[in-house]
Amino acid sequence: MSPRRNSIGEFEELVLIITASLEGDAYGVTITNELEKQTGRSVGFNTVHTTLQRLEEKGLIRSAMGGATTERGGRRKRYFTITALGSRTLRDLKALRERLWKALPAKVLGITKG
Amino acid sequence: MPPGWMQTLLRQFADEDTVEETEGDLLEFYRQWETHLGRNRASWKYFYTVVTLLRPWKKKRKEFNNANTLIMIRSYLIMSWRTILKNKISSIINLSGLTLGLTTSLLILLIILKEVRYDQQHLKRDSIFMMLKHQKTSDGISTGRSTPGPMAEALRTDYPQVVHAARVAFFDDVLVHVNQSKLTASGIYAEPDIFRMMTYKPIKGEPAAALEANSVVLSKNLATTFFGDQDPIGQLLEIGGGYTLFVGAIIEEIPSTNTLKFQMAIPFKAFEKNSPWLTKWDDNRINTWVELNNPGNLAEFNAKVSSMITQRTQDQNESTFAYPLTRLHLYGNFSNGQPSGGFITIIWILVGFGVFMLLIACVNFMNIATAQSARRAKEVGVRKVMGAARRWIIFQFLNESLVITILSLVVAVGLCILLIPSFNLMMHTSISFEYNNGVVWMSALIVAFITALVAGSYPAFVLSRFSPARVLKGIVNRPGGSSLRRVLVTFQFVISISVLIGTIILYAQFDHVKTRPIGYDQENLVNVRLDSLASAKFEVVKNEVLKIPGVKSVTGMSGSILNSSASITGMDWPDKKPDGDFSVSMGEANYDWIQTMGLEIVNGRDFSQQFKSDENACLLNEIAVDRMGLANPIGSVVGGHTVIGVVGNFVYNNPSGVIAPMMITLTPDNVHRLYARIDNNDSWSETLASIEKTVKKISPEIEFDLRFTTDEYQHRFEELSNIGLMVSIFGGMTIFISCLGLFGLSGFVAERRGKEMSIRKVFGASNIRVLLSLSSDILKPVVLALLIVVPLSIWVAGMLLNEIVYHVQLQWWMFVQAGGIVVAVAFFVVLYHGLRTASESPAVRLKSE
Repeated sequence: MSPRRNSIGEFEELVLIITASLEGDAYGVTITNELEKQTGRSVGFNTVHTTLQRLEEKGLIRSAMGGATTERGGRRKRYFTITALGSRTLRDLKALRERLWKALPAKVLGITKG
Repeated sequence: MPPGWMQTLLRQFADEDTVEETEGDLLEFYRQWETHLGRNRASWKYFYTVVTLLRPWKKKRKEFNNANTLIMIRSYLIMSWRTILKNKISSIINLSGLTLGLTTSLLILLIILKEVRYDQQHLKRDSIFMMLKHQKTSDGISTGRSTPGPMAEALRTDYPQVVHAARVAFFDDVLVHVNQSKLTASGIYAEPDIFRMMTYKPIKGEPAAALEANSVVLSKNLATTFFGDQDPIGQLLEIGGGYTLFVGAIIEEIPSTNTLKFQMAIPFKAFEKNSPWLTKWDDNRINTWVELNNPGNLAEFNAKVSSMITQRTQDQNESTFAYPLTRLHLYGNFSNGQPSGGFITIIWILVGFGVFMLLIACVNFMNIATAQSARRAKEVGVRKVMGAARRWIIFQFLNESLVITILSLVVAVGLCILLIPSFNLMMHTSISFEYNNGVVWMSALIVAFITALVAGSYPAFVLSRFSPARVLKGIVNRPGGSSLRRVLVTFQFVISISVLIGTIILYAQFDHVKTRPIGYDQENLVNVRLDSLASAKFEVVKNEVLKIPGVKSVTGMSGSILNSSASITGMDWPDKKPDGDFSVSMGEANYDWIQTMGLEIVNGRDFSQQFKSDENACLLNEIAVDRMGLANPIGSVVGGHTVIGVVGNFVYNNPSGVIAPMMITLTPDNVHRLYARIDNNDSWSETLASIEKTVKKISPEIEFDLRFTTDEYQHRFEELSNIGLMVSIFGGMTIFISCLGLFGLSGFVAERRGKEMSIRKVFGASNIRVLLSLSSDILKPVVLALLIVVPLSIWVAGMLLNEIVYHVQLQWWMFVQAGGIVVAVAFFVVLYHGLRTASESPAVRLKSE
């Protein structure tokens, strides 16, 4: 696994996690709304849209068109799901963070170990 | 809902791959924003997001890389081909209409390409000028190219602006002895400067130097005729029996696109020797060419030379000016002293005709396309349902018209190549199809392309607009513009009926002129051309010929009775008014002229050998006496000659023109034609043989050339009947192409009113009733065209005929004939669709609903 594929930015990581957490219901609108809800930041749809495309290019998520419904004037939704590579990347990132956290002296953060 | 234009913007320019879900997502957001932020702010936010999502370049790049495009184009080519094969009748109509239009345009294109190249081969063309001369007469100012002999020398010495000046005189059919054989040749007498001004490519020798050294310049072809494969340089030519010259230079054949063209140039000095009048300032018979060092200052130069003739003669009515070589051909005509076009007028008429033919072909194409619109609409509907964008359907229709136009172009090029020889023969042109000339091909392609675009535009933009849902349900939005088509078809018929009426009047006029009383008896009148030897011994020849049994009477003339090119202005006669000058044609005749020709003597008598004083006498024709206002013509002195007789007007020069005033003087020896009246009996051919024998006895070397005057006279109508033939072909073409248009229109009307007719039949209308109802609808444009044309053509024809002096009277049958022909032809054309619709079972038409 090349390091390049593995390396994703902070925002990409957030989008990836939220896509994974929404399970079957991850599409543009839900992802953006969830992101705003969780981070409290105002997130532009265009940013999310671009990020999703980039993640798909990197092979971390895949997408499929859903069925047509009347609610959006017949326009279908594109649902995103995390790929195996995506989950592994998230796991790797989590493991890396945990390793780093463990190595972190407790007094730096002003908390006691335990 | 967000504003529509923003959605359109998104749809047009966003990434095509994701536009559907993006649009949906944005719609959802918009609804959220609308509830939280209100409509206005939601719209703003929506707009902002749309803008950030636009990917215009990505979309374009994708389309160009799409391999489908190529497949589509190939498929459309195949489709076009199949459509052409499927609708054979309409394809043939389109093809023939377009072919006709393109063939005409191609021929016109070739003519124009040739004409604009006129005189362009001369490197110094912009500084070469021809000296012209305005002459005031009582009929207005006439402008001519003849100048006095000493003018060139005066220009050379007195005007520093003149670099070169050269005199040129033409000669026709001069007998040339080459080695042992005799040949006739035409060419020019020229001064050496002509070769320093004009660019005629030398092959051997140096033309200017050759003329300077008193030798002859020949064109390549003439040199080959004279000497075959021998080297022509240094060979001897005996010209006109008078003098012998060496050949000094050979030039390339001069293309026909030259104002000054010749095959042989003889030093002007040889001409000067025998022409004492060349020293006179009031005798204009030769051309003068000049080269100026500062052509930009032409106006200044012309102001200086304008009075050069009047300074040297008493004649105050002449003014001279230099006219550019490059304008001589296209703009060389003058009317009353002002430039009045020239060949350019013909070019514009031709261009108009070409455009008109193409336009009619395009209109036909549109008519036929709309006639088929119902069927094509379904095709369009299905295509759209299968996902074709409108621009692809537009492309498909344009492609169809392009394919058929290119096909027509191929046929037209073939036709052109086949037609050019007979076209040249008929029109006295010498155009050729230049295969290796890129301009020809390019212009032909451009013309074809524009035609295809114009022809295809209507079906392309109208038919592609159909909405698939409606079309496939059987509701066809009838395309509008049917009134436009009616106007166009009416216009077509206006033109074709005009041409038809024109042709009928033209032929009536021909007949009228052919049967014009000519004032003398042409039957049984023969003439023989005499050479210088026979001419010098005319007295003997005349007496010998008179001895032949069967010859009634003999006379001679210096020219032909059929024309007189010499004319004189400034003649004196008793009680002449100061502003009453006009030009008088001059003829020279021998004794027994009136008797031999069968002319009518109105007053006085013919020349007679009994009166020695007749050598200085003259005859006038009636019109001359009238215009001079001579109350007592006999005995009065006109132009230095005593009038002894007045001869009845007879036709000469233009057979349909005015009979101009003429003076005939007596010539005992300047006789180039012998006229004899012979008996029309069984032995007339023996009589002619005897004449030949007699003439040859006196002048053994003569090329015997005997003609019947009536044949010569009829010969002049050949050119006219060529014009008549051309106009008939033109007329036939316009009628043909208009009928194609009518056929298209009738198809359209039959299609549109098909259901109506079926319903009428269900309610009991007979086939005839249906046919009449349809045809009367379709024939309306023809009748309307007739109503427009007839009064218009009466007016125009009346005006044009008044220009011709001896003209036919307009008669009602001319118009009835034209109208009858057109209505009959049109009715037959309409019959096809009319009968088809009338005999159709109503069930077929009505079952679709």
